[in-house]
Amino acid sequence: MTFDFLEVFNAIGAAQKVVTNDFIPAESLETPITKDATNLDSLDVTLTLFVLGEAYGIPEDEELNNSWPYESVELLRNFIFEHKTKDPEDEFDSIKALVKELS
Amino acid sequence: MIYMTQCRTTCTTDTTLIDDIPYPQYAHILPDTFRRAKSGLKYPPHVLIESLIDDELRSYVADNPVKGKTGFIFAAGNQGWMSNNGRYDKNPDAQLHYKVKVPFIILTNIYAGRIASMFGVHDHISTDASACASSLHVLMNMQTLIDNYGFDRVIVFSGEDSVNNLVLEFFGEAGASLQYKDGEERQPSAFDDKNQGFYIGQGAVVAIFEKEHAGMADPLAKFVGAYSSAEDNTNPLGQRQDGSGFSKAIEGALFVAKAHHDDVRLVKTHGTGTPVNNAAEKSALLRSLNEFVATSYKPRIGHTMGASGLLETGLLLRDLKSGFVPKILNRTQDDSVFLSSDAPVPEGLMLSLAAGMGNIYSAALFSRGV
Repeated sequence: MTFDFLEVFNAIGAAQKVVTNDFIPAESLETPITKDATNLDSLDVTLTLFVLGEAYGIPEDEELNNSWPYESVELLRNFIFEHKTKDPEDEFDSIKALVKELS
Repeated sequence: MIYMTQCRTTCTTDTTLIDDIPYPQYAHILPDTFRRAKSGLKYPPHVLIESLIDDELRSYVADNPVKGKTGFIFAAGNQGWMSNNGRYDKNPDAQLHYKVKVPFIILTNIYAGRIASMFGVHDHISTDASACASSLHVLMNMQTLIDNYGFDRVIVFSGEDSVNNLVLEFFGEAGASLQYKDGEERQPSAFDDKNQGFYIGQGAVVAIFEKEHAGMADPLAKFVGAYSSAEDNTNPLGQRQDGSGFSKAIEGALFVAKAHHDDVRLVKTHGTGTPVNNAAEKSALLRSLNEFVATSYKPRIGHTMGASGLLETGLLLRDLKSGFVPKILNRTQDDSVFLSSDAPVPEGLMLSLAAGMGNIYSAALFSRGV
C-alpha cells in the first residue's frame, strides 16, 4: 500500500501544531504552504519538512537542505519524490504509526 | 492566598550504567526519551517535558478560566540546551550522543513560547536560568505576579537537559557524581559520613499556582512564600561551609510568609550528598530552625538539576499523603533529624530548599493545611 502524500503531509503538519485542531488541512496538492492556507507558522513548517525528510530518507546535503520548496504541497511532493531514498510505507504500517514514531 | 492546585512529575528510580564516557557512572534515565535522538529527530528533554502534558491538564486550564491574567514560567536551568560541543562529535556512536537538527528550538525561550501557546497563555512568558535552583527560584517571580500584577494563575514548567555527555563529564570530573568504580564503596545518600555524592537523573515537573477562585481544583498545598538569595562567596561553584546562602534564603522566605522559625517542622533539602553541600545545608538548617525533620530525594531519583527543587517538592507532597516522611536512602548512621528511617509527618510548615551554581540559594514555604 502506498501512502497518499497529501494525507502524509496533513498528518505530519497537524502533529506539529501544539493544538492539533489549529491546523488547516491542505485540500489539494495545489494548496500553498502558507500561514493563511494551513495555519503552519515558520517553525511548524520547518519541523514538518524535517519529519518528511526523515520519513522519505532525504539525504543530508547543504545544497539540498537549502532547496526545499514550500510554495505548494505539489512542489514539495515533487522535490521529495525526486530525492527520496526510501518509502515510509516500507517502515510503517500506517500514516498514524509514522506520525506517532516521528512527530 | 496562593495555592498549588496541580503538580505532575516524571522521573525514575531506575539506574542505567553509562560506560562509554571518560567518567563511567550510573544515571537515572528514561530510555524512551532517547529514541530517535541520534538522528536529531527528537530531543530527549523535550520528550521528557511533553510527557507531562495531557488533555486533562490542558482541559483544566481551558475549562477553568480565571478572571485575572495567566502567566507561564519555564524554569529551564540554563538558557540553551544541547550545545554542540566536541565531546559529542568525537564519538557519535556514544550511548547518549544526539544530534541537534533544528538549532533554534533548543533555545529555552523559544521552547517556552511554544509550550505556553499550548495552554493559550499570552499574558506573560518568561524563562529562568538559575541552574539547579531554577524551579524554586521562579516561585519568587510567581508570587510577585500574583500578588502585584493582577495574575490569577501561573503555570510553572521545569525540566532540563540534565543527562548528556557534557553534564556527566563535568560532574564526574568534579567528583560530585558517583563514579562506576565507587559503586561498591559508596552509594548515593545525603548528610552521611560515608555515602556521599549523587547520580545524575532526568526529571521534569509542571505545577499550577492559583489565587483562590471558584473553579479551582482541590489544592495540593498552600504556598506561603519564597525567596532567593546569594552569599558572600568568591567561588560561584562552591557553597560556604557555614551555609550562609541557605540561611539567607530561609530568612527571606520566612519574612515574606510572616512566619517564625519554629513554624517550620519539615524540610525537603537540596541534599546532593556532596561533602560541600552536606556541610553548608546542615549548618544552615541547624542554625535557622529548631525542631524539624529533613529528607532528600536525590539519592532516590538522582539530581535532576533545574527541575529538582519543585519536582522533589511534588514528590514529598505526594508521599506525605501516605502519612510518613520518607527516609534519606543509604544513610549509614542513625539519624532522627536528617532521616535514616521513615518518620511520621509533623504538623507545621514545609520548607523546600535548592541551590544553584552561580551562588544561588532558594527557599519556598508550603502549608499542607489548606
